Amino acid sequence: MSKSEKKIVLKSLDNEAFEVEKAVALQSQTIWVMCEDKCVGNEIPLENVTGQILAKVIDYCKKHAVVDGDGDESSEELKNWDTEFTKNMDQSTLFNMILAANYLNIKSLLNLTCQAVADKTKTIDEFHTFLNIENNFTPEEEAQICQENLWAFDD
Amino acid sequence: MSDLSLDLVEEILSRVPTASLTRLRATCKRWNALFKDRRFIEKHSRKAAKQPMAFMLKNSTIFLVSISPNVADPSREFNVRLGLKDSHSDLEQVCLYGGFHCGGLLLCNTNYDGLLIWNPCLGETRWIQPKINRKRWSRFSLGYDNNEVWNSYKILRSYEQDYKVVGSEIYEFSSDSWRALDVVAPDCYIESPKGVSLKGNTYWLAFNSKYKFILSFDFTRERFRRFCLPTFQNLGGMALSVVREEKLSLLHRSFDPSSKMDMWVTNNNIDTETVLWSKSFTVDISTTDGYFHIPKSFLIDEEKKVVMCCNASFEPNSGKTEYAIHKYHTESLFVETTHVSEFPFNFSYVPSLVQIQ
Repeated sequence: MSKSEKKIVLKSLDNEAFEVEKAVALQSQTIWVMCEDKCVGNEIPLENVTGQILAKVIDYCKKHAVVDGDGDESSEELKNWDTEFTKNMDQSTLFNMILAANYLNIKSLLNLTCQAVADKTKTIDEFHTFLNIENNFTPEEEAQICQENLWAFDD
Repeated sequence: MSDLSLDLVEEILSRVPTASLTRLRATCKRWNALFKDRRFIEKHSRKAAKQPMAFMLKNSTIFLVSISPNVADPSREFNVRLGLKDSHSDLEQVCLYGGFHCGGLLLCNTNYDGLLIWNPCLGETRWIQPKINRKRWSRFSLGYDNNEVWNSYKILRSYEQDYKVVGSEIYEFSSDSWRALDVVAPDCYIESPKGVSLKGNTYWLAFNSKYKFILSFDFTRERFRRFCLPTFQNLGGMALSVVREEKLSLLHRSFDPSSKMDMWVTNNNIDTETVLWSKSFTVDISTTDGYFHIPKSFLIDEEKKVVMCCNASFEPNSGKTEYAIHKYHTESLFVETTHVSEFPFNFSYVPSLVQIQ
């Protein structure tokens, strides 16, 4: 395989191009299917992901790729890296990372970002904002459910 | 932010611990419905972090208590309205005499016939009628088969003659029936009043004419096993507990009035690896009543080095047994004492959405 065949270009929604190793990009099931399809050339358009988010996704994939058997990262080290990776992401970035991981079908990144949201989101209001939900119970219904589950509210 | 698909919302919510998720259910009909969705519950039990709580059984009621210091009133009632979803007529009158926790469910003996299975987080209950031969003392414990994707719960009834286990029966929730267990009885005496449950299996302190050891019942393979204890120069008194649903802990004290209490813990994977014991910390404080206690049950907070013990002592002046909960704060060398009228019993509990089959 020549050098150029091992590389692939990913193009974001806002037309930003990223040249990456194929082994890095193929962690995405969506890209893998596109490559198998052969109807795309060496350049893959990703219409749902902005350049800013795609750059982060590629960072993640590079860290998790086993390139030419060179995957000598210990799992402990990788876990710490993952923690640092999501640690300083704001809610909006996390939200877009979840959408990107889902669209690109990268299971481990989806797990990581969903876990980060579950860990970081503390109050009911924060969950509502993140998940765009409004309380659709009447105050009486809400009080009834609280009353039946006092153990969880009592702290 | 725009909407996430329902799948993605579930992906996030399945990682939210049970207590926080329960607070959320009161704010959205769709989320409330997830508490009845078997597929979601199964996913949640695999993915959400387990956050153990400390339960205390005293005066026939279960309380939620706190092991660690500086948390409000430790005698706060665990206010679950038992009986909401049950046809039993006088459930408000149910007195609990024993509690055994496994995987989010409690197995309780009560003042009524039958065994009560209870998920206190969901308020769900179910009564099970054991086949009882009243001449024989029976010991019940709850466990599950680890091979099943969906926890398949079972109850073990071990019956004793002259204090020795002579036979066992298994009840399966899925078939709602009892069957005799065709294994060799463990040929020993069980010392723990209640066993403790870890990852679906039950553990007791036990002994025979030669040794003291841990007896376990493996609910997946349906057989008894033995595990060694740490080596002690003075066998002394012991009690067994679990730490954060990960490992066993052992409280040990030599029979010597000035002796300290040592807290031992196992490695995390005792089901698949050899059991290794290591000393976690030592409690070197005595209670003000001057009694030498070996608790019937206890719980530890390894990080803060706090031990909460349920103790009984015989009071020679009044000729009565007195009951107390002692909390030993190892680092501040302080013992907190709460007197209670009946035998207290504490155990670890992990809230779960698991439904009683």
